Amino acid sequence: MSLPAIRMNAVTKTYKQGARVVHALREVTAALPRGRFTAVMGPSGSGKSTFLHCAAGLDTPTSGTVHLGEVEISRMSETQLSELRRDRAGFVFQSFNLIPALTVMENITLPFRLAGTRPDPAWLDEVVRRVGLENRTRHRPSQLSGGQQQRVAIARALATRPEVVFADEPTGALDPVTAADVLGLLRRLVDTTGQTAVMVTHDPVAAAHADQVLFLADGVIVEELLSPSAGEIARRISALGRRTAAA
Amino acid sequence: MLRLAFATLRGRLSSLAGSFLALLFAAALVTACGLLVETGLRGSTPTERYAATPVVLTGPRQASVVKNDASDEPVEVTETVPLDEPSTLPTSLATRLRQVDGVQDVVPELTFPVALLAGDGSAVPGAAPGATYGHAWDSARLTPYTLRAGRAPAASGEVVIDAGLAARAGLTVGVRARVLGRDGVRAYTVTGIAGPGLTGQSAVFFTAGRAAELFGHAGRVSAFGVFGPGDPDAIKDAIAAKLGIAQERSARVSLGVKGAPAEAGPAVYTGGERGQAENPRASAARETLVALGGSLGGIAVMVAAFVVAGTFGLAQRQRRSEIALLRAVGATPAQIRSMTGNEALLLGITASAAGLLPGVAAGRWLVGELTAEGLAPEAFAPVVGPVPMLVALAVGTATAWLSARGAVRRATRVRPTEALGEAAAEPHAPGRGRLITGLVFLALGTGLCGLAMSVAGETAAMSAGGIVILLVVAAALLGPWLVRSAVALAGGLLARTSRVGGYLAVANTRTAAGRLASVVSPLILMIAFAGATVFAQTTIGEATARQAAEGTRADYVVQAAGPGLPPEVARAARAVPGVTGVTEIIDTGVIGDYEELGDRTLRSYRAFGLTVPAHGLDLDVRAGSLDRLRGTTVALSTLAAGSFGVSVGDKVRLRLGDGTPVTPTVVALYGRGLGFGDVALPHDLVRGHTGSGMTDRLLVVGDASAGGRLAALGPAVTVLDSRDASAARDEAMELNNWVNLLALGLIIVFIAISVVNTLVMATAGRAREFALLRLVGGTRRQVLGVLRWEALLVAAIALVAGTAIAVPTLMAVSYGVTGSPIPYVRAEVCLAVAALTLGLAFAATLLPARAVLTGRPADRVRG
Repeated sequence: MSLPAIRMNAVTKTYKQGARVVHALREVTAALPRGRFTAVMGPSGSGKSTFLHCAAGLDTPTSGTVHLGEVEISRMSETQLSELRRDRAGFVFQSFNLIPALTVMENITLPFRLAGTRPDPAWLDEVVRRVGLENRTRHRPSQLSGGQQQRVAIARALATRPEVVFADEPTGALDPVTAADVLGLLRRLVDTTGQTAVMVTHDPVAAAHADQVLFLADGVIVEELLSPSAGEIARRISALGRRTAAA
Repeated sequence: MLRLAFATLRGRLSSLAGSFLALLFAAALVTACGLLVETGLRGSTPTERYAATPVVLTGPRQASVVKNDASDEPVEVTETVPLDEPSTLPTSLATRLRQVDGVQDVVPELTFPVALLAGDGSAVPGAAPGATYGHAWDSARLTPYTLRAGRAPAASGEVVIDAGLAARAGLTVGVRARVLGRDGVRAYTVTGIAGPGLTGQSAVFFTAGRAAELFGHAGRVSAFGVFGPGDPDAIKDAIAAKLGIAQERSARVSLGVKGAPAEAGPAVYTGGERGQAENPRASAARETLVALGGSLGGIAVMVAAFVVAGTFGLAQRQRRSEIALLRAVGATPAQIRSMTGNEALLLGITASAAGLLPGVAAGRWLVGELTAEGLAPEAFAPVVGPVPMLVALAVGTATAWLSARGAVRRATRVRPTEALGEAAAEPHAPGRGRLITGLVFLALGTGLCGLAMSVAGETAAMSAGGIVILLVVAAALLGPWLVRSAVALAGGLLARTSRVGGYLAVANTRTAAGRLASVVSPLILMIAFAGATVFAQTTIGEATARQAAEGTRADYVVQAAGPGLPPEVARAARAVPGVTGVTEIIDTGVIGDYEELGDRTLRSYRAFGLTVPAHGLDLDVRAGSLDRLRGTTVALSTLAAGSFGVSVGDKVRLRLGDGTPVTPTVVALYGRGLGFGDVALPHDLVRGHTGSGMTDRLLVVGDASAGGRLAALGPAVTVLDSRDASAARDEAMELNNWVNLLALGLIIVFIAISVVNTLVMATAGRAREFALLRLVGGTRRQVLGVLRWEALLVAAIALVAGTAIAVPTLMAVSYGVTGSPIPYVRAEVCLAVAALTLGLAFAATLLPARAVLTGRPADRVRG
C-alpha cells in the first residue's frame, strides 16, 4: 500500500486553561490511509476536534510530527500553512462555510484565486456536476438551503484535488434526510475519485458511512473499527461515554 | 427582557462601547455649548458703576419684529436683533418715573466715551480697554463716587477724575488735564479726585451742562437711576406697569407689522442684572456667547443624532441573529422592542451622564479661550448651572432611544426562521421608503442649491448650511445605492487590478452595501462639512480681503487711539499741504428691516458713514452716484440691495446703530460690500447715532510729504500707510476664523470618533468571514489586502460624494457673496481632508482587523 495520506507520530497537544494544563491529545500515533473515508469519533472533550485541527495544519502540536502526504506540516509557519491549505487540504465545516458576498462558483474557485492559479475547467465542471449544483452556480449562499450550502462547501473542498478533505461535523446542522444525502455524496466521491476524507462527528449514523472509525477518549485513540454499522458504533460510543464518566 | 440584554452584553461590548463613546461626546458637546449659552444669558459682570442704584433703566438693547394683529392681544416677538450702539431715553421720562409708587428719586445718567490724554498726546489707559466714560457729576451717587480730594466741578472747564485714572495719569487736584470728547480735545482743571477706582471702567465727571454738550443728544439721557426704599423688583414691576413695557429681561424696539415702528421701551435692570446695564461690551459678548453656543450646540445635536443613529443601526444589524434566535424561542416583537429600547435608555443615560463633567470642563475652557481672544470681557465668569446638563442628558437619552427605535423596527421584522441561516449575509435589500425619502432630500438639496444660485445675495450664502445638511442626509439615505453604483463603476477595474484583494473587496462591498453605507455616511458628512465650512470661509475671506485691498486707494489711514477723532482733526487734515482728499469714516452697524418671503425680517448689516465726495475709497459703484450721499440717503451693496429688493431711487427701512428708524432713499449701488460694509450712509446722518459721535478713521490721499505732517495733527492719532492698514484688516479677520475653525475642529473630532466607531464595529463583526478566508487558504496578508482595498473604496466613495456635496454648496455661497460661482479653494486643505479621510478609513479598518486575525481561524469560524 502506498504512503498514508496523513501520518501522525506521537502527537501531543496541551492547552493552558487558567492555571490548569489540559491534555487534548496524548502521544497520538495514527496513519490515515489514502483513498479512504475515515471517521473520528469520541465523547465531548475526547480531543477529536484537536485531532482534526492538528491533522489539517489548522493547529500545531505541542510535540510530535504530522505529515500531510510527504510534507511535514507540524513545524510550518502560519503563512506556509495557509498556502498549503489552498491545494493540499479541503475543508467542510458545520456551518458558515461560504463567503456570503460570493456566488456559488466564486466560492468554489476561491482557493485558486487566493493561490493565483487557474482551476482545471473539466474537473471543475465534473465537481459541480457531482455535487448537483449545475444550475445554481450563479446563486449566492443566502439563496441556498443548508444542504445545498454544504454541497458547495464540498465542491470547494474537492476543486483543488487536495490530499485530504477534512470535514468537521459537516452534517451537524442538517436534517437526517439532507445529512444522509450529503454523506452519500462524500462516500461516492471517495469511491469514484479516490479522494481521501477525514470526518469528525458525534453521530454514529454519519460515521457509518466511513471505511474506518477511530475512537478517541481523553486524547488517546482507544479503538479502531473497519466498516462498522451504525449500531455497532453507537454501542462503542456509549461504552466509551460511560467509561469517561466513571473515570 | 432587560436582564436578557444585560446577559448578552458581554458579547457586544465593542459595539456598545462605540455607541457609548459617541453619546458621551455628544453629551459633552451639548453641555459645553449649553454652558456657553447659559454664561451668555446669566453670566454677569460685577455691578460697579450702578452699585448704589436699586433700579436702572437704559435705552433698548435690541430691535424686534413683533406680531400684533389685534391691539389688545399680547404681542408676539418673532425676531430680535441686538443694536450696535448704545441707545438713549427721553429726559422727560423722569417725570413719569417719579410718579411710580415706591420711587423716591430718579437720577438721570449720561454716559459717553472720552479719553484722558497724557502729556505726549496718547490716551491714558482706562481700567479696561476703551472703557473711559464721561458723566455728569450729578450722577456720581449712582456708584457712589465720593470726593477723595478737592471739590465738585462748578464750571464747564472743570472736571473730577476717578482715583484709578488719576493715579495712572499722575494727576492731582488743581492741575490741567486734556480730555478728548465729541467736540475735540479741551483742557480742563482737575477740581477733585473721586473714589473708588472701578475695575471695569474709568470715569471723568463734568458739570451737568458740559456733560450734556459732550453727550450730544439734547433732551435725552443714557439711563436713569431709580431710588426707592422698597424691594427693587417691586419697583421694577411698578415701573414696567406704569410705562406699559413687557416684563422681559430687556425691552425692545417694537415694530408694527405694517405701520410706523412703535416707540422704543426702556430696559429695566435690578440686582445682578445691573452689570449688564453698565457694560455694553459685555452685552455684545453675551450675544456672541449665546449665538456661538446655540449654533455649535445645534450642529452638535444634529451630528450626534446622525452618528448615534448610524452606530445603533450597525449594532442592531450585528445582533440580527441573536434577535432572530430570541424570536424563535418565543419573544414577541414588542418584547424585542422593549428590550432594545430599555437598553438604549440605559446606555443613553449612563453615556450622557459620563459626558457631563468633560462637557463642563470643555465649556469652561471655551469661555476661557473666548476671553483670551477678546470675545468676552475678562470679568466674565463661566456659569455652571444644572440646565445645560439636564438638556444634555435629555438630548443624549432621547437620541439613543430614538436611534434604537429606528434600528429595531427593522430588526423585529426578522422572521424567527431566519435565525439560523446565514446570519452574516446582508439581510434585505434596503426599502423603497428609504430610496424615496433619500431622493426627496436629494431633490430638496439640489433645489435649494439652484434657488440659492438664482436669488444670489446673502440669502444664498446663508442657505449653505441647509444645503449641506439636506445633501448629507440624502447621501446617508441613498448610501447603499451610492455604494453599489460606485462598485458597478469602479469594480471591474479594481477586480482586474488586484485579483485577490480587489476582487474580494468589490464582492464584499457589492453585497454588503448597507454595512458599507453606514461606514461611508459619517465620512461623507465630515468631508462635506469640513469642505463647506473651510472653503466658504476662505472664499468669503479672500473676497473680503481682495475687495478691501482693491477698494482702498488711500495713501494714509488716520486712526483714533481713543474713542474717536474729533471733527477738528479732519479739518486740520484737509489743510495739510500735499493732501488732496480726505474721507471721514464712522464704522457702525445698522439693522435692515424688509420683507422676506412675505414676513417682516430684521437683519444686522455692517455699515459705515462717510463724507462725500469720497477720496481714497473706490466702492465699485454700479448704479447711481456716491456724490449724492447727503441728507437722508443711503448707498447699498448690490447684495444688500438684492435682499431689500430695491434699486436706486427706492426707499429702504433702516434702524440706525442706536435703534432710530430712518427711511433713506437709495442713491447708489456698489460692488465692494464685503470689503467695506453693505450699507453706506452719510457721515452726518450716522454721527448722531453712535456712542462716541466721533469719526473712527480718515482716509487720506496725498503725496509722500503728507505722512509726517498728518502724524502731528493732534493727540491720540495714529497714521498708517497703506501697507500697515491692510495688515490691520487681516488681523481683524483672524478672530472670526478662529471661532469657525473651533466649531469645525469639534465637529471633525466628533465625526472621526464615529467613523472609527463604525469601522471598528463593522470590521470586528466580520471575524468569522476572515477566519473562513484563512481556512480556505488565504494568508493574513491576503485578508488584510482585501480590507485595504475595502478601506480605499470606502474612502474614495466618501471623497467623491463629499466633494459632490461641498462643491455646489460652495458655488452657491461664492455666487451669493462674490458674484462669481468659483469658490476660493486651497489645495493644501483639500489634501489634508483627503489624507484625514484615508487615514481614518485605513486605521479604523486595519487595526481591528489585525486583532481579529490573531488566534486560530478554526475556533473563530465556529462562531
